This record gives sequence, structure tokens and C-alpha cells, in this order.
Amino acid sequence: MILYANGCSFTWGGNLYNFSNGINGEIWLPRDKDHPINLERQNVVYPAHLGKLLGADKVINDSLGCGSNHRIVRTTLDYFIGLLNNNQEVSDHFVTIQWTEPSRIEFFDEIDDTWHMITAKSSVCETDPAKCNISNELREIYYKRIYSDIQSAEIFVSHIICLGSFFEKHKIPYLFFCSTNFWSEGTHLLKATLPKIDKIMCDYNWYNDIPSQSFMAGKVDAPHGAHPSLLGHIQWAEKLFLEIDRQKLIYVKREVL
Amino acid sequence: MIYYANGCSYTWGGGLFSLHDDDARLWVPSLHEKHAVNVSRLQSVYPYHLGKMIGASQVINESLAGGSNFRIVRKTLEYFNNLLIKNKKITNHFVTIQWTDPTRYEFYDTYQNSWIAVTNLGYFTEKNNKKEDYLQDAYKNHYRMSSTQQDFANFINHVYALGNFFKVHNIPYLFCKHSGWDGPFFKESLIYYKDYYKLLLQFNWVKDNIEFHMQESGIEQVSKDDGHPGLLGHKQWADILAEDIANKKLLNFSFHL
Repeated sequence: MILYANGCSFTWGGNLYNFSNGINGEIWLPRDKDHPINLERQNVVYPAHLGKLLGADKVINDSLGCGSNHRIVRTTLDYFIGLLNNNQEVSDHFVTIQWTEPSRIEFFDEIDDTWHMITAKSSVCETDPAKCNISNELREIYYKRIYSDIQSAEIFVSHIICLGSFFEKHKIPYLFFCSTNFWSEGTHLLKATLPKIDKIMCDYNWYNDIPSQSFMAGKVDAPHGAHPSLLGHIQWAEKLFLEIDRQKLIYVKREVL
Repeated sequence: MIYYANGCSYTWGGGLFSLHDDDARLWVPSLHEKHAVNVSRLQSVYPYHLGKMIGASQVINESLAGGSNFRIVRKTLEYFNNLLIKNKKITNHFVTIQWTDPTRYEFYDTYQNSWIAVTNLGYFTEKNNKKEDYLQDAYKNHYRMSSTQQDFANFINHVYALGNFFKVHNIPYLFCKHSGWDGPFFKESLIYYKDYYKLLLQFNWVKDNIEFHMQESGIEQVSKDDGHPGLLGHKQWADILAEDIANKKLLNFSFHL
């Protein structure tokens, strides 16, 4: 079985690792995917621990700090569609999707052939730290001129339906959860959509069953803000393992805990 | 059986009717359903004719001239999700989705509390069909930040979201396209996304051909300079769809031209 995980910094190792490394910042982890620091990072975040608990043959962690739900949907579909096109099996996967704040977005820069990841507080160029000034310019324009809570909530619903229906259709077992409790902590509008979200989205597989109650923050050790510590990642993997067993999403050997 | 249709001006009646009819206020047809012009419009377009052919007890046409695929996905999910929230049956529906140009977009203007439809020809406020000057900046910036690669990623996301939603909920459906936006746009994108193209064929497309579209289907058009279907063209397109629905056995009805 292959464990495929996607998400934002909560799955990537935010607060444990920085994008920029090396004496002059020459190592850029989103770009230098095979760098030893990246390999070390991959081994300390919850997908690695969960993979061991589940006895996965392989763990693929496609998450990225600063990433949006747009990116999560795009890269997850890219991965599975690549397999389907090569007539490879997809139902031998187990997937965890950690949804992030719906306000985030991404833009593709055709001149530099790179994606810019945009959040309300920060922005990053995926492949070139020197281009982060462009990311920041896009961020300012987007949130000042185009962004609305109502649109981000609507698009979040379509993202959940897009991946949830895809997994159901292809018989890929999966579990959804969010990074933080952004529904209750968010704007009035997001709170107002909560009953609707819970009712529509509860058909999919959520940690704790209820979408709005399904989040990582506050549930594991995180001494430096909301991101899990090293211990927090181990704890979250154990919680997911128990939840996968409770929902009988795949067969697990409980004695490994 | 209820027939639900969504699309852009090709499903709305573009070229035959004008959004700028201030009396009929056709930009918000749901609020002016019974206006004579609106009734005439709804009875002129292909969903009406197809509804009769397939024996629909009700035809719901939520298309809008100038609408984007973002709008099509949002309105369609909103319609079905509202039924699901009320525990109403949705498998008694048949759906046609006429996808539009993927470069189109929408955003929500919190000042007017309305969605703004955005096309390469301009923008308008859905609520009142006005083109407010203060939105010019958002409009220009949207196109400045858009890219073919991202438009195509969004299109994939949209097709997968609705296609798999219909499959999971056992709602028979048929997808089609209005025009040859797949000319330069699509072929350029295929360099990056040829894998996706193959897998898009898993969904129900009219004549099993993504490149088949209304403009080049041989149906009557409004004029040489306006590729929208004419009155006869809408009937002809309904015939083409009905034949395809019968061939695919999407619905059980007797098809006679």
C-alpha cells in the first residue's frame, strides 16, 4: 500500500524547517526536492510516522508550506492522473488530505515558468526565492482587488467535492481534515456557512466525522504556535491511525501502537 | 425526471436575446421568470426542446450569458447541494453542462453584494448588469495574473468536480462545449497536459469527442458573424444531444427525429 499525503505547512513541517537553508540561503527546499534536508524533513512529519504505523510500502508527501487548496487539488490530481494514464493501480493507495485556509490561492507565472503561492499573510515563489517579490506583488493585488470570503468558501466546497468524488469514484480510501479551526475562528461569513458545509460535506471521510470539527491545531503538541512539534507529528499520526481503524477505512494492525 | 442545464450564452440564448433588456432584466432570470421576454427566451433555447424530447417534467436552465466555468460549477453544486440539505432526491435529474471558455472568471464584489462575471470582452455585475468603473482595476489585474496553464488546471478541476459528483450521486449527465476555445488555447495546453486530455474522455461528452462543439456542429447560427445558435440551431442542437443520450443509453426514452 502507498500512502499519499497532501496539505500545507502542517503536513510539510512548518516551524521545524525553513524554505531557505545554507550559508547564503542557496538551498531552497521547495525547489531542491532531493536535498538531504528535505529527505530528513520528510522523515519527521506525520505522513512518515503514519506510513510506518500502516505498514505502507511507500510514503509520498506532496505538501508544501504556504500552499493553497488550489495547489492541493492540482497536485493530487496530477499524481493520480499520471498513474491512471499509465494504467497503474490507484486503489492500492491510502490518501490523507489536510485542507488549508480557503483564503489562499496560487498563480502561475508564464514568464518564469513557476507557481507563486499566496496567503493572506505571506507569499512565496515555488522555484526561485529571488522571485518572491513578484509573489508579494500578486498577493497585494489579489487581496486588495479581487478576494472575497464568499468566493473562497464557495471554491473550498468545490475543492472538497472534486477530490472526495474522485477518491470515491476510483475506490481510493482516504481521510480529510483541516489544518486549523478556520471555520469557527474565521469571519462571520465562514461561520454562517458552517451548518451547510457540515451537512453537505459529512458524506466524505473526515477525521472526527464532522468537517468543522476536523482539524489538527490544538490537538497535538505545538509549543511554538499552531504547527506540530516533532512530538506533535508523532501524536497526529497516532490519532489518524486510530481514526482510520475506527472508520474501518483500511485494515490496520492495532497492535503496532 | 427533472432536466437541469447550465452553460454560458450558448445555453442562455445569446444572439437571440440581449442581456441589456432593462425591462425584462434577463441578467437575473430567476427573479423575472414570468416576464414575457424571459419566457420566450427559455422556450427558444435547446434545453427547452431537449426537455420535451426526453420527457422531462421540469426544465431548469441556470445558464447566463457571459458566465464562466467557475459560475457553472458554483451554481450547479449550489442547486444540488440545496436539494441534498433538504434530503431531497437528486437521482431523478438529468444534467447537461455546456462548458465555456476557461479564460473566463468571476469574483464577488462585497460592496454591491453581487458576483461579477468576467470575460475577455469585459465584465458586468450579475445583480444589475452594470459595469461599475471601480471594478476596472480588479478586472485588469485578473487578466494580468491569469495564465493558460492555470486556466487549464482550473478547467480540469471543474470538469472533475462536476463529472465525479454526478457519477458518485448516480445522476446521468452529458458534457458539451460551445466553441473552439480548444483551438490555440487547448492545443497549447496539451503540451503540458496531454495526459489529462486522455482521461477527460472518461466523462460523458457529446459524441465522445471533447473537440466536438456547437459552433462547428453544423447547426444553424444567428449570423455569419455570430456563432450562437439561431432558433433553428437550438432545435438542431437538442436533436444532436437527444441522439447522443439515446446512443449512450443515459436515459430511457424513444428517440425519433
